[in-house]
Amino acid sequence: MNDLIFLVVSSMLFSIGLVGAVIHRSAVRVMISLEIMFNGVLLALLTLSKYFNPLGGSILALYAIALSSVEVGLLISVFILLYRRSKSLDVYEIVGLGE
Amino acid sequence: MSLPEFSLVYVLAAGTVAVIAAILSVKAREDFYSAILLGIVGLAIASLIALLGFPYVGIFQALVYVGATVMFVIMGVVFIGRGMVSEKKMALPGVLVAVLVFFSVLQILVSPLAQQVTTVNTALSLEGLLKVFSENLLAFFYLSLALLALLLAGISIARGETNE
Repeated sequence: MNDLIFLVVSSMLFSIGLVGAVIHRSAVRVMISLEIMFNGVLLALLTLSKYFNPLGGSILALYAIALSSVEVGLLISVFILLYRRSKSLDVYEIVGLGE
Repeated sequence: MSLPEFSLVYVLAAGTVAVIAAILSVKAREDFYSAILLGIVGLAIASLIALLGFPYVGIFQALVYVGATVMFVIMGVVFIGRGMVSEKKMALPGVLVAVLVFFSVLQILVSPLAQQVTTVNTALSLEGLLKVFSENLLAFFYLSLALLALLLAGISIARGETNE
């Protein structure tokens, strides 16, 4: 029953983040929604790893948290550069970066 | 593994905080408040992870995720300022999609638990962490190198160092 609570919370976080990522147009808000999804997935990973492989799940979670930190740093850098370049972070207006 | 009764209250409280903060983060008008609420989600998840029986992962989540990642986001939002992106309100379709995704994801997550009944109780301890680190030194070295390269790439991109 207790583990079901963890899985319900992780599913809710995943679905809330997915909706946020789909409905927002600002790239920063999309990234924040993806981070909410990441939190839900992390909780599900650890909840399920408790039954199958706790040590492996813990190590995978540590890697995932560290990589998420780097990913966010990189994305924020890209967003700052994009904003300097096009004065907008609307995901529908960011075009022509390959030119 | 069943938690003691007093822990159940903490689990319910942390879960409620996480979900409410996530909803408010998605619905917030300002990016800054959205980032702050993401930090609250991270803290609630860290406490849930600790209550789940992984205290070191919970501490790592609180220190690295909330301390670094969310700070990155907040600093970025402050640097960018108001992005001036007009958002369309899509409340009803959003809620419908969220409910559908919630039930499907929950079904996927619960199905392995229905087949598995035994619990392996060998969560990560400090000794286990040090053992893993010493046995996989090369892997940690490569990962550190990759993280450093990514950070340098991010700094380089943010400074606009292109070939032009």
